[in-house]
Amino acid sequence: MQFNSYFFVFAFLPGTLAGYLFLRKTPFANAFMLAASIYFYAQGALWYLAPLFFTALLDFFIGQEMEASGNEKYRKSLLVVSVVANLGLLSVFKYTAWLTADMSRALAPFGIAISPILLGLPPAISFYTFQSMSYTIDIYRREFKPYRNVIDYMSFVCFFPHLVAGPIMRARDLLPQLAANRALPSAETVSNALFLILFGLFQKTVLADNFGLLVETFQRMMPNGSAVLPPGIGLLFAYAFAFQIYCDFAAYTTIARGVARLFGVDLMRNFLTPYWSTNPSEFWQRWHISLSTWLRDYLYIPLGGNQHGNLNTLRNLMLTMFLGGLWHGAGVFFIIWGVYHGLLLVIYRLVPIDAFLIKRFGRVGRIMAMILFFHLVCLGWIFFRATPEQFLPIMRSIIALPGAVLGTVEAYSDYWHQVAQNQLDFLPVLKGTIEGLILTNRDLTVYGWGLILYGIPLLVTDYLGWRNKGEFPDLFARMPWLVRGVLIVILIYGMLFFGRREANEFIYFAF
Amino acid sequence: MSSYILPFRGWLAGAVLLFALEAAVYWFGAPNPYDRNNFLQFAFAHDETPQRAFVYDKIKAFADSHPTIVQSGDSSGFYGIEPSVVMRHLPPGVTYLNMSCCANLGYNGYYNILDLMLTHNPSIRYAVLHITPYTMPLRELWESDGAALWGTPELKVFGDAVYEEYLGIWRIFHLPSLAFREEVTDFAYYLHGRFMQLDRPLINNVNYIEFQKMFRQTLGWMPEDDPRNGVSATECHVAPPKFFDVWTLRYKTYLQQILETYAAMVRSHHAKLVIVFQPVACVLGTGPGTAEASAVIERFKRDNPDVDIPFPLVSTWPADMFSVPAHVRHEYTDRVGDRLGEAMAAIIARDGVTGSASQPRQ
Repeated sequence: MQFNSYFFVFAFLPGTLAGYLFLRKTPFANAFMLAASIYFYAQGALWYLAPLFFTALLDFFIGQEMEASGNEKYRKSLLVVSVVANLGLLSVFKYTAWLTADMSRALAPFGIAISPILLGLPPAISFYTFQSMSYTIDIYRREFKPYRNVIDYMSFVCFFPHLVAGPIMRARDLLPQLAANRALPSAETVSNALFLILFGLFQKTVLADNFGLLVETFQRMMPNGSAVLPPGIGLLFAYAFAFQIYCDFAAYTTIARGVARLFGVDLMRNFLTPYWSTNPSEFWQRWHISLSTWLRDYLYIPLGGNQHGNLNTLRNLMLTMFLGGLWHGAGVFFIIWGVYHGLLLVIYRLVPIDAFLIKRFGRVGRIMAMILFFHLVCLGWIFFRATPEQFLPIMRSIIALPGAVLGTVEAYSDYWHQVAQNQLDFLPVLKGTIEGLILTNRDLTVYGWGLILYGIPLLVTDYLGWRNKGEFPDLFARMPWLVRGVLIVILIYGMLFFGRREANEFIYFAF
Repeated sequence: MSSYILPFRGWLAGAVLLFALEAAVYWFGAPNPYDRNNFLQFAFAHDETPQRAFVYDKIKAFADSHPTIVQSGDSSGFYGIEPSVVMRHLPPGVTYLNMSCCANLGYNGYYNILDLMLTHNPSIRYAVLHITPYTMPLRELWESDGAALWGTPELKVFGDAVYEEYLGIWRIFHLPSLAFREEVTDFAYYLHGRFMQLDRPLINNVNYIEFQKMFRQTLGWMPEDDPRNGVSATECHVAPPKFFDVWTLRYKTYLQQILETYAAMVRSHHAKLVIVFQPVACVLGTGPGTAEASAVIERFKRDNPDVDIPFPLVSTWPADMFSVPAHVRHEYTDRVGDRLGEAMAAIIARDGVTGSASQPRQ
């Protein structure tokens, strides 16, 4: 079921909320929430429940067994079972098709024919396996005591607001909230939660989906590797996808947090204006925070973190980011994306470019560092979204942009000479040059306009959030009530007129 | 004010403002109710699906036109049945409307069009399902909205949208200002025509321009102008795919399921269902499945005597009368129209319906 559907907003959510409020003080509240979550998840296909239940129940029983045992060797073997089962399941569903397809291609020249094994990918499998795994690891480390009630535990794994695309919550943060008899949320909390939902829907339907439309349009211009993109379109592709994936993923989390709050549950923040970062380390503290912290706590630190010298630290960073890339998807480009971010972390650690710029140029240097790092992130997104065949046309189009701009400027150079000699006025020549630039780069101008149109609301809301060291929805509570009213109407009309109509899944449903 | 209400002042202010604006739009803008929907995309620099636009325009033009007979179905009827030709055979005052569009509307879509027309027009006495045997009911045409028809991504089945946007419960959220979405998005996306090359992409679609010129005058018909001449003489495949029916625990053909569902819906509107199969050019035969499909139809006729199926499933016409297998060339549309007109005249005469047929159904 999609958050951005009438059925979810006007039927499922109010119905589930009413049921929860009715049963809130009874022992059946979590059973009801679990049933609602299962219904929510199984809308796509019933078989999706099989791997979900397998993972969750296996880890539940392993947790019980681990807690009951004082034998460290036995506890360790139980942990190994949990990790192998979770990662094995994830690998089977996520990587079998990719590996067998590659193997099929590799063996074909030797006359060996194997058919790729195409398995359907259950939505959210990357999220719930990591979440479930953290439960057993925390128990193994004695950082968390398992809950005896299987319903409470299953409601933690399946809690519908965050089940499909996170945030990846740790049991120690979410399970105690769900197992407790929660107080009714205050009126202020409900009002803010409703705004989170409204703003998330706006981010998804107006911003993410329309940026996505631009991305799809650009991709259609590149049916194969020899396609020639107009100058600059490759850059627009990178920008559009950078904005799409951010708005899409942040929208999901924003709605998830709003919905959870209606049930008296706090989910962690997953994004914090990441594109205002000046370096990769800051970026990963602001982007998909629940995954970054998961990788830090369960992979980077166990590998040794930054405790064993520079070389080991760099190795650990690379390894963590490599696995982070692999988590995102099955494909060479996902791995390259992960390694690329690993390299950025390493380079910035060795050569702190942002620190240099800030020290040298102050506030302007900070802006320069942000712009530089944003473009480095955009370059990474090309690996993430483009197919291998599309990569070269995109890069060629980016490289061709300065030439196209300079070509236009050169064509008008005679006029500019005359401006310099006071034979022509400055403004008409400037206007003419800009018009010439637009006419000779029509695709860039038109699609650039589309990007600006949707980029403005993103830039304004993100900037306000960043300035206030939070996200834009955090400001809602601080606004005068009349401004709140106007903002609500603007968001509703934005969705009404500009929301994309074709059904669009959240990108991270596929992860 | 109660402390519980205070935090919601912003929401209340928003609701009041929204209501005031929508009331103003409703009273002063007088929006067309058939524009108040999300049927078309109006997305930035993005083509509308022409078939969706055909359906949108037809519904907007004819949803309250009070015909006596309404036809829905695939493109065989869209290009094949000219209402004026059919009406030459009908009693005076009996009107025929062609609401057919295209295969990617799917059987859900044909159904929803008929349901919509029957709901809005008590004058309708006959609902005609006009199809070619080439598009026999199968899974992606019945229960898979959004499926790529025949594996073609551009041909997504969209029949459910007719229900959602014109008949479904969520219409209550279609605010009056939704009717002005095209104007608002045009203004923002194309800067009032500054970006003409990408302005309303459908303007450049030849089929759509032709359609716009004539569909009102022809009551929904458009002549086939496909330059291809004749179809190759091959054996056609007219077999009815099956599914496992969980209610009866038996395999059932989609054809039977669809015929039964259509009959029940039309019956519920106190009208009569007429099912018409367009001739085909299968000069070398129609494959082993045809006998099974014909048997399903015969059984259905026996079980539903109130439904008329005037022609056999397969009537073979010469291949050069078709431009593509499902479309009769426009020089021959008179023959298809006459064929249907004569059949409808016989049905109407048998039912005793006269020229005053535009009376509401009982």
